[in-house]
Amino acid sequence: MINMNDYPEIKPGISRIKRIYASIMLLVVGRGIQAAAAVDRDAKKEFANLRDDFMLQLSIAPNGPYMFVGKNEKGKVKYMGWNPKGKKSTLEMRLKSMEAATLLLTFQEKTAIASCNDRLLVQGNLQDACAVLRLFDIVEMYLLPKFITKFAVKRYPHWSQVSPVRKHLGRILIYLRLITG
Amino acid sequence: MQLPDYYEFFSRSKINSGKKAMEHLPFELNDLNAKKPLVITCVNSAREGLPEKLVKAFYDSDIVIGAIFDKVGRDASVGLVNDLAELYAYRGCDSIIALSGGAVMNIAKGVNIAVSLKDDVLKFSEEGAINTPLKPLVALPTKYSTGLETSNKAIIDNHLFSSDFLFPDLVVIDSRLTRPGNAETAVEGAMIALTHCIEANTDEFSSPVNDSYAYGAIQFINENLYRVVKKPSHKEGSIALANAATMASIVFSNSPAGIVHLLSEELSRITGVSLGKCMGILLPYALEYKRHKKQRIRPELLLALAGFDGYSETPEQDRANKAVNKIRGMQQNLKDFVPGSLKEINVPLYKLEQVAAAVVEKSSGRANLKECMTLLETALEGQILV
Repeated sequence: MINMNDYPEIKPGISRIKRIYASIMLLVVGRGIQAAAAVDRDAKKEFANLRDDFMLQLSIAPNGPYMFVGKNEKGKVKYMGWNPKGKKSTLEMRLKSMEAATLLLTFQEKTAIASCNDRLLVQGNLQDACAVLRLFDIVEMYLLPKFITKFAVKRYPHWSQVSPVRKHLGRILIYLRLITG
Repeated sequence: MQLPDYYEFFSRSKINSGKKAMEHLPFELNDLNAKKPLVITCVNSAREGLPEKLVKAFYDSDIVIGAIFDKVGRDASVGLVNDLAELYAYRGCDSIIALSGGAVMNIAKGVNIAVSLKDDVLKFSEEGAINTPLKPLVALPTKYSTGLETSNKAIIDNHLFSSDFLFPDLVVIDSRLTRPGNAETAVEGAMIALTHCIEANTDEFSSPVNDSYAYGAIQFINENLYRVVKKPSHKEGSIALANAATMASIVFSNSPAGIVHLLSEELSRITGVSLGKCMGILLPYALEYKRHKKQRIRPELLLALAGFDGYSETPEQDRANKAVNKIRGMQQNLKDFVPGSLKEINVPLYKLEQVAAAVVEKSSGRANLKECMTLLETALEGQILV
C-alpha cells in the first residue's frame, strides 16, 4: 500500500526569461517584416503573390506569445500586434513549445531545420508558409550581422544576389522603420 | 529481401527521437487528449535526477503532472500495479508516462490495463484478452533496457501479457535520458536487441518491413556499441543504441520468440544472470549451430554487420558464414562484459536440463528438447561449431 501524499501533484512552472525574450523577438520579427515589405524588392514580390486578406499568426503553443502580420484594407503590409482577440488569420504557424521557440529565436536551429525537426506546426496554405519562411530569411539578413545570420538562414545570399550597398542601405532603412513604425 | 506469400506487421508507436525531444511531450500529449499524466520511474532514474529533467520539459505548458512515482525496483508485481492504479484514479490522471525501461515499463503497461479495463490485471494475461484501446501511454527509454519496452508485451509476476494495445502510443528518445550510461548496461541492452533482430531475421517467414527495422537496429548496434563501451557518455552512440532497442522491441513484437530468447529467459530466471548476458553468450552458438546444420542464414545479415564495402567484397556464398563469424567476433571483443561460455558463469549441467525442459513446455512444441540441449551443451563447453 503506498501513501498517496508522498507523491504530490506537480504543476510545472514557466520560464520567464525565455518568455520575455520570445515576446521581444516576435515583436522585432513582426515589425521587421513590415519594414522589409516597404524597403526590399524581394520581400515586396513575396507579399504581392500572397492573397489580399493575408494574415500570418506566428505563436508559441499552448498560450503564446503571439505575433500577427498581414495586409490591411489598403493592401499595405502591417504588423497587427500580439493580441489574438478579434483577429482572423489565414496562415497559422505555431512553434510546438517554448523550447522550440528558443532554439529558433536564438538561432541554434535554422528556420528550415526547425521545420524539418517538426518544431513548427503549419495550418493554412503550404505555399504561403514557404513564402513566409523566405521572408524570415530576408528579415534576418537585414537585421542581423552575417556571422549570426549564417546560423539562422538556409543559405546566406551571395553578394551577386544582394549587393553590399543594397544590404547596408536596406539595413539602415529597416532599422529606422523598426523604431519609427 | 524475402517476400513471403502473406505477412502482417503492426506497430502503433509514434517515435520522437533527438535534440529536445522531451520538450515535444506537452504537444504530443495534447494530441492524445491527455492533460494529466501519471509518471512512473525507478529508483535509479530518480537518483540520476531524470524526473526533474522531465518536469522541466513541461514548463510553459498547460499539463499538470498527477504524480511522480519513483520507487519501482527490479521486478514488476501485481501489488504495485494495483497501488499505482489507485494513485492514478485518486489524482484523476488520464495518461501514463513510463520513464525508464525494464520493470518500469512492465508496471506502466499493467497500470494501463488496470485503469482502462477496470478489472483484475491477471485476468488479461491470456492471448487476445485485451481487445480495446487503453489509455495513452508514453515511453521514455533510458539506458536500462530489457527488450520489451516498446513491444506489445509485458511481464508482471511471471505472467506474460500480449496485445497490440500494449504498444506505447509515443516513444520519446532524448540523449539527456540515455546518458551517461555505463558500458555494462549498454552491452546487455545491445545483446538483447541484437538477439531479437537476428532471430526475427533468420525466421523463414520474416516480413520485409520487419527486416527493415531489424537491419536498421543491427547497423546501429554495430556502429555504436564499441563507441559507447569506450566512452559511456557518448551522445550520438547512446541515442543510436536507444533507437536500436526501440526498433528491436518492435521487431520482437512482429515475430515469434526465437530459441535464444526462450533459453536465455529461462536461464536468467533459474540462474539469476542478466538476460542480456545470457543472450550474448548463446547467440553466437545458436548461429553456429544453424550453420553447422546447414540451415539458412540470410546473407543480407552481413550488409547490416559489415556495411556496403564488407558486403560487396565478400562472395555471395560466403556472406552468411562471414556474418556468423562477425557475431562471434563481437562476443569475443566484448569478453569483459559477455562471458564466452556458460562455464564461465558457473552454470551446472542439471540446471541446463531444467532450462531445456521448461523451454520445450513454454514453446508448445516449437522448440525441440534435443536441439535445446545440444545448444546449451556447446555453450557450456565453449565449443565453436564450424
